[in-house]
Amino acid sequence: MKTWTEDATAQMERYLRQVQVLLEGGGADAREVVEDLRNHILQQGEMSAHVVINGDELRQILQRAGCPEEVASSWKELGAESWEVGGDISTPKTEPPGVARLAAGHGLKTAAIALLIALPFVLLFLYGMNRATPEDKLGQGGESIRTDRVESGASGETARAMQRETLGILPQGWFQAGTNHVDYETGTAGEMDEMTGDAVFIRSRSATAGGFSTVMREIPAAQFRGKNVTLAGTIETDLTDGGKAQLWMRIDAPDGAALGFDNMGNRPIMGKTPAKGYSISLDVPVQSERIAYGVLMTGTGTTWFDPAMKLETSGFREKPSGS
Amino acid sequence: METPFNVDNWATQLRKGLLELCILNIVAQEEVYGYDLVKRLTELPGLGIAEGSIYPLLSRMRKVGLLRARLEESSTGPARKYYALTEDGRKCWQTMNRHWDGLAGGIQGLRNGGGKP
Repeated sequence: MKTWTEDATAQMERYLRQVQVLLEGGGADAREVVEDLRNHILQQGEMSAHVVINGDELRQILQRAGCPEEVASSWKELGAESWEVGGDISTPKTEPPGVARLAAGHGLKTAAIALLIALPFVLLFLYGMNRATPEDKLGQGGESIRTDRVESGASGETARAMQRETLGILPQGWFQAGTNHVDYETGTAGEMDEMTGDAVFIRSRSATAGGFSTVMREIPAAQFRGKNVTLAGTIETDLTDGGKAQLWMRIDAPDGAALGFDNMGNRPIMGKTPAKGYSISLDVPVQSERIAYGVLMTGTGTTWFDPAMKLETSGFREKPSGS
Repeated sequence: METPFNVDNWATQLRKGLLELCILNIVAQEEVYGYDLVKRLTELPGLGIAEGSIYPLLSRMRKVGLLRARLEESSTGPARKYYALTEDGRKCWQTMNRHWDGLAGGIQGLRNGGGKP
């Protein structure tokens, strides 16, 4: 896999965020489109002749993908009336394309005005909730803020009275991967107990969520070569029906082969658990190229984790070549 | 060449109107990886569409039941999403192709001097 610079990753996230905001309220599934686009961009990066994807390389990829407005408006300009579920496609539409385009444009303007009108009330609502739960702070990314009430246990005690989520947007450097992007959603959840900043969440969308989803990042292995590295992260869970959360780390060779791997497979986190520290230790051989790590989830429920994970080294196990 | 009629706008609308049919015609042949589908569409002469603008369409076509999608993990990059036609999608594809064939044939007939009483 290619290495992405922080600048390139940040640019990609900004681009995807713009697309998501423009798609919200439209007929397409904004989260699905953003994930598809993210995978398209990552795939383009994989096809690149460059080993490192930097800002310049990413700009070329995004140029081919199209500007956010172009991406978000594509289906609307076709005439939204063609997309009625169960509609009779054999009946030709008689309105000229210009009418459909005008209607779509009107819809966009209406949505924008409605958003502007609603925004102060949403902020007031959030402020009110904030006063009731001073430990929470306003989340970032007002466009897709969502509030959820999370109750815990039979006592009905509010574990996380009001948490504000930003769906589909992850901190810089982090991205969603796994075998199933349809049944799981990810994003940031605002500040939480025991976590240093905005928490990241992975949540099942379906009661029959299959496969797994992970939020992960990759870093160059250079500074860790020949050492033992310990990954430490804070995870909180509310999992049901055998759902599992696992901290994981993998050491990759230049050809992509795994030189080391631990995913807490024999000690997964299950059920409802408070924020707690977990760790994994692996040796980083001298030929290592990358370290990939993150949190994965299988089954149903929600997993939160602190993206401010620590990678600490201890003891030389191997001497880097040439030293 | 400047004309009183905006041919560029007309061509843009024509291309966009045919995009769903192009997608259905590709997917009707075989299950196809989304990235490959996008690449084939953007390389189609005359279609001239940005790669990213196809994903909202695919999402819509999946939501209304024309396409189904499945994910497959890849060892060389992000998980791959494969698209296939649903039964409704296949009916839609056949109906749209009939419309296209009739229309294209009619226009060709007009160009050949047909259509006169």
